[in-house]
Amino acid sequence: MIRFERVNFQYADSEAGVTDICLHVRKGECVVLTGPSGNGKTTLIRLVNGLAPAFYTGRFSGCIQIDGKDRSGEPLWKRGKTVGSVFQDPGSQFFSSEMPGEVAFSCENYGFPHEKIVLRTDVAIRRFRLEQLRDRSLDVLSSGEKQRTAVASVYAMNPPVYVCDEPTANLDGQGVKELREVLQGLKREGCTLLIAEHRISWLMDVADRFVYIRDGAIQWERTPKQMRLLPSEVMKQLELRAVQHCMPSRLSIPAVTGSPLLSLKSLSCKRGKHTIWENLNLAAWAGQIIAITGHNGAGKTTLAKIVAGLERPSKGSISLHGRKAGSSRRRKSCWYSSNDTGTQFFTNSVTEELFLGIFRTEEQLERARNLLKKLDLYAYKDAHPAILSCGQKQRLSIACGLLSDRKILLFDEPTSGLDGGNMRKIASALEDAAAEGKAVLVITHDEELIQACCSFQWDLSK
Amino acid sequence: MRETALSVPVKVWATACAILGVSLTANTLLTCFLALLAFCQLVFEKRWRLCLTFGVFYLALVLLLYLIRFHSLRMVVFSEFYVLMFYNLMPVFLVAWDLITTPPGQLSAALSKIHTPTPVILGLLVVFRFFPTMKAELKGIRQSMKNRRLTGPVQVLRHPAVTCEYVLVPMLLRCLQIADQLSVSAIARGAQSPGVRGSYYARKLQLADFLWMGIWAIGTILFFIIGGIK
Amino acid sequence: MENAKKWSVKDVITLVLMTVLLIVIQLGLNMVCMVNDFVSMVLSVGISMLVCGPVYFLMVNRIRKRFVSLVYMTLLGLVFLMMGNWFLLPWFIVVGIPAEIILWKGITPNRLTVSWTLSSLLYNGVNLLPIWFFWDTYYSFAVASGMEQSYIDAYVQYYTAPGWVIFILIFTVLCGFLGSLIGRKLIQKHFKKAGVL
Repeated sequence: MIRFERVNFQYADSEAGVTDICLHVRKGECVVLTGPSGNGKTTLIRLVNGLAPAFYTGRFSGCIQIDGKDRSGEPLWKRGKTVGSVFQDPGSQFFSSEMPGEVAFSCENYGFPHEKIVLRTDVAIRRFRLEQLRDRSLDVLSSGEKQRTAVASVYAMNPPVYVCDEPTANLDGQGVKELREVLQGLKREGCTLLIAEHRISWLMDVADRFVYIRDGAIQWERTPKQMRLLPSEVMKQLELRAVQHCMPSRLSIPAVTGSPLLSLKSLSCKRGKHTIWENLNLAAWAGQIIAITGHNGAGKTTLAKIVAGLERPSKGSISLHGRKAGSSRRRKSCWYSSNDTGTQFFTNSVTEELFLGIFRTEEQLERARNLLKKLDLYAYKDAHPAILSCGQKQRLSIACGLLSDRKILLFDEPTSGLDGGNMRKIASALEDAAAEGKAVLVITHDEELIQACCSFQWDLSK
Repeated sequence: MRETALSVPVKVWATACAILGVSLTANTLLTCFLALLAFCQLVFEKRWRLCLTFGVFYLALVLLLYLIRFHSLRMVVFSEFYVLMFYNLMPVFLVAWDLITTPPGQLSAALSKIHTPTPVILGLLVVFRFFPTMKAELKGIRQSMKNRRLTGPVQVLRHPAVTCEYVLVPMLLRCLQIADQLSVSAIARGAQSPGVRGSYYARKLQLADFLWMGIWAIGTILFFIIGGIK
Repeated sequence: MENAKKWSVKDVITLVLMTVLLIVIQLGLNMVCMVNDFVSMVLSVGISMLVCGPVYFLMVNRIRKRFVSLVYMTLLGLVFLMMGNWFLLPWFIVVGIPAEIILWKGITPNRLTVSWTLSSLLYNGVNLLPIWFFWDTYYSFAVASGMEQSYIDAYVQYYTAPGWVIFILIFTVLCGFLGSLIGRKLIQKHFKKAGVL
């Protein structure tokens, strides 16, 4: 169905690219491209859906056949009928705030007659069990529902080939489960799937082959069976996520004697009439890394923002060092780093960012230098924060938190969408923070991260 | 889907009538007649919330105007001129607001019916995505500024320019990023496909539509007869 | 620049997003300023041109096609049309044309500065035209409600006394110019470095 023959591609505006790719994806097969971020997975996906070289310009050589034809001469819009694309962040791809309009978007673009558009849209909505969400605004859907809507919008075109570029990067556990079912269904219907992904455990039952890509070239191919046999040290070297789905951890609630750094007393939170959680009594001590877990909508982010003094609880109190602290005092001692790193940086270089609001002394400069080296950011010390990758941005945020001398650090999903290598770097950064005597609270769904560094857990589901 | 909603051409017609009416009339105070007509249209479409908010606002304007006119009220803030202007333009606000809050799907359907090029329709759809997306972004920026302790009154007053930069730059960068993501998503889904764009919504003109078109035409003419033309 | 003339989907979307941002900022500032006569009649245009300068610079530099300014001004006019001030639509199209002519031969920072400064000057129409347009109506209403001549004059003096008019024009031009300078600085400081230009 898709055949790469000696394909080379090099982006016009950077060094990156892929070299000498030979790959054949048969009809009805599901092939997963895996490997660390920034090594060429996405480029291959773009070559198949035509965005490279048409949208992302560059030098291309070789031949890509899709459905038995070399399509390099065709205009880009024709490719969309054969190859459907699913992207990372469904929320920012939507053109409509309502479900039918979004699902019908491609059909509308291709100028299908009205009756056909309505038929296909309604079939797609039913196929992905989205009818009950039909009248809701897309912005309020959960991440999994958003991604399902995005797939439905591709499904309405009924292309034989689907390509997905890290489709789970912004999904939570439930969303990943939903997406797996969706992809299994598509495979059963005979669609060909090509997926770029470094979280591989959820794909073990869907994929036929895993293709490992590093430094812009295909290194090896393995079946799921062979993947399962790889020892975890090898996975670490490959910078991949675990093959097996980790068992949800059951860590204990912190119980240490002595006065806690942070304690919540009968804290409750209501938004409107809806009680998110109530009567929380929790505490954290210096040197601990605590995972805040719980299902979607359990109020994890709200809890973190309240602790950080960015929002207000409806009842109860929060104490720091045993003394009741209002929100402005909490803001002085707590660092909150949100999941969305896009809006967190304000200055024009990594170093400036670290010293935002901090007095510059020789000693602090030295600390900052060491910190950047340890977090593998030193090479970027003068770069604009906007050019950093997701993992680097998360690390920069951790570095800012560490340098700010605040005692309590809160992180919201710092590893979502990161590959194994980056996840481990974050884990060790958090451990360093704890070793400096900070109390670290991490909101996370990432069982691997919990296993790698967390010592305690606050579970909000109960 | 609200079955009671009027079709897009009727709303455009109503807006045109209202603009014509308020710009040409010789008797400004009489524009309440057009406003009444516009309120009737909203009631007919069962847009209660819109009716209520605009209704309250309109009544406040009328009250202020009454006080200015007959009880020599002088405004300390928000000059009398603006009160009169807003009062005068209210009919246009009402119908125009009704027009632009039509679900984007229907607007784009109406546009593709008159063979508008796809990029223009895409542009229109993007406008509607702007507001929910930017709202979320602004909230994010505000919270991280708060976290960085950049929102304190001392900081803001001492460095107003820097504060502006901190808000503007992340917002602009994010705006460009969203534009890129949206264009990738549009291109991958056939936005460059030539020819007329199709549409999911197709709404034939109904009796009510013709009725309202007539009401606005007659209403405007009547309004001119009573109030006179400049 | 290859494809100097053809507009891509990306250009359209960028233009629309940035234009909406500009319009939202301008309308928002305008509304807030209405609270006080002096601020709204004298300062508001200048303030919004100051804030919008960087956004305009980024928009034009990012898209680098002809007609960006004209389309922006036309859309702005359309918004005013929907708010009942229909005469601002032709006005803003007229404002867009000189900006377009200045940038016709290529976009350089200096030409952008000139075009934005000129636009700032002409942008005063947003306040002046409605007053001219509604003045008779307002005047008869004001007289009917028993306002004294001096009260009415005090209100409109900003647009009738030559001193004030000159001050307003100079102030907006200065603000527009300053906005351009800030735009240039921010482009060098942030956007070039962030790799978006």
